[in-house]
Amino acid sequence: MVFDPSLSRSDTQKVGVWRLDSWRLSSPQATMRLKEIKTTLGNLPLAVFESDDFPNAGSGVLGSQIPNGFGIVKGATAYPINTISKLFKVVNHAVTSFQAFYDNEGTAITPDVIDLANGEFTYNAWDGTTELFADFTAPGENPVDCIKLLLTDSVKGANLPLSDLDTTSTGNKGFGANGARLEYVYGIEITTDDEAVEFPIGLYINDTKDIATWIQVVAAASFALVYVDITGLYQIKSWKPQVSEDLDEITDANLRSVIVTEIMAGDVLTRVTSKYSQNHGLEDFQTFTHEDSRMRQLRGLTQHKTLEEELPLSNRFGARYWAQRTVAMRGVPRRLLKLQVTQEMMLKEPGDYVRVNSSRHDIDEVFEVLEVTINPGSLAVSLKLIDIRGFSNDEGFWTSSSTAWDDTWTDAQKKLAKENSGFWSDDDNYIDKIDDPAQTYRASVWV
Amino acid sequence: MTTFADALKNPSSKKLVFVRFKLRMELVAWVAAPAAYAGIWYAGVTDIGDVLSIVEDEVTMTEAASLVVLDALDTSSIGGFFWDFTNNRIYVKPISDSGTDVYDFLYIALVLLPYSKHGGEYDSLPHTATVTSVPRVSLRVGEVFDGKVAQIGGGSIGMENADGLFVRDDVEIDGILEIIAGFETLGGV
Repeated sequence: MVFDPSLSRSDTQKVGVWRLDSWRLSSPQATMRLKEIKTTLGNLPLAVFESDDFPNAGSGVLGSQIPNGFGIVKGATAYPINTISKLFKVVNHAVTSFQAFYDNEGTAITPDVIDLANGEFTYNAWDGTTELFADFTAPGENPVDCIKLLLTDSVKGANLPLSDLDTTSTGNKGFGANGARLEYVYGIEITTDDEAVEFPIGLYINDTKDIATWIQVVAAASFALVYVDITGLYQIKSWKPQVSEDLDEITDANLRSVIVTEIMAGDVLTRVTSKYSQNHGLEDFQTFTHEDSRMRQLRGLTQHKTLEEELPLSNRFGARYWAQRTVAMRGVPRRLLKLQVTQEMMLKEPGDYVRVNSSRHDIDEVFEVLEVTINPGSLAVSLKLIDIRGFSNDEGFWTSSSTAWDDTWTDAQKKLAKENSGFWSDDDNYIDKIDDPAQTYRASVWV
Repeated sequence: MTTFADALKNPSSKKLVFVRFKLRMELVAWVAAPAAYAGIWYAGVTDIGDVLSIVEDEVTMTEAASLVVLDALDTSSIGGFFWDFTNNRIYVKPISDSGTDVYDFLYIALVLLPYSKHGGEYDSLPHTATVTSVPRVSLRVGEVFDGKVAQIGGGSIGMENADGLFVRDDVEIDGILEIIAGFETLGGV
């Protein structure tokens, strides 16, 4: 196509992309109803144990869904797909490795043949009735990778085409599984630095929830923000508070109106229990509970306000991080700002940070963008901001070795030090690796 | 050169709004190309701005820059197409592994229908002024973090249809709509 320099693509901005849902035709007007791009995401591809493929399957196997797994999965049921050759299938795809095999009493077994490419193993000593289970690792351990696979994988995802903007992809001219030509790029990888910590996912899928729900499950567990931006691309951002330096500033010159709302303590949480590392065969979880008694007292609650959540996380570090961050994020009232601003703020997106500096409204703070609304005709812009979900710039978790820390202290001395002095953690988020993890990591007293 | 971000800061910039539909169209009414181009067929189309891609039995075809280039294209493994926007024809050269008969395959084209609110030309395509109303764009996430996939809010778009432009059955409704904003003062015009 000939490029027209009079109004090039780089001089314009896509401001919205929708899926056309229906047309209502009448003369002289046609009205097209629009829906979100994510409504093109359907259910995951459903694979079922069928008699044609598994003629010698054990009782109760035929008709069941063949499960999928992402990351580190514990206690997955091993389905006897051939009772003659004593062949078991764990998942519908290749796995990276198996870590353990055991029976329903937890007794370890040793398979005779392990087939990683098909997620299967053969156990010649099987007695024909005992239920067997396996722990395995499959691609998708990193939450971002897991979400990517849920969007793109042809066996256990939506099979969407990769974007031209993703330089690792090849070919992007096809249609998505649902008929739409969708594109996406990946945002910031969840990294292992001290501001955005990656905890391994363990997601096991053996029912038919839609893909958007599974993405939500992973994003919520990893504090990732997933959205389709105004250009129609899927974006994944890690939650990463920023300080005010170098942020775009909204001043009185940009502000047309301000409404400040406080979300009161009605839904403030003071205790969170993370259920993690599920044994899927036994439907059993490990748990980690974090509570903030000080905040309960400050809020005048006679009992803890509790949240209990099942998480696709595979280790205690992730469960603890989730519980503590959730208490910190939802343990204090938050402020919402609704602003009418000038049009140069239209390129802000959810998860961005801005500094609002208004002497007229007595505000000088960093806020996170929750919502951007644009009128494409007038390019009028309104923003909804939140005060970083309960965090402020000087807030933090306890950490590392400080010269004042002494490993020979008693537990009571350590507890006192943590509660009254504060220690920043090392890379593992512990004050000291040899400490009891249950005691060594708590939210800062600065909250 | 003025950028979009610069123009945003200028309240006197004249705003332009373009609306582009990306819809699927099944190509069915084939005519054999002139004898000089044996093995090539074309389908006539109306009121489309561009052909973005074509899939031949779910395989994306190679786009050729001209009929001559298409004729010379090796289609032993992947078929090819040429969009003749002057004559509103889509030429295809099928994959040559099954007798090269165009009727052996299903062809789905992703086509672009370009419109605008006030008229104008963008990316060398005229965008006719048939848009009467556009939806507000609202991109949001929840106040309480829950991991839900956040997105643009829904809505509706109104188009002039006095001439029956949208009474057409050759495209499938399930497609994509993009709204693009620009400024007339951009690009040195």
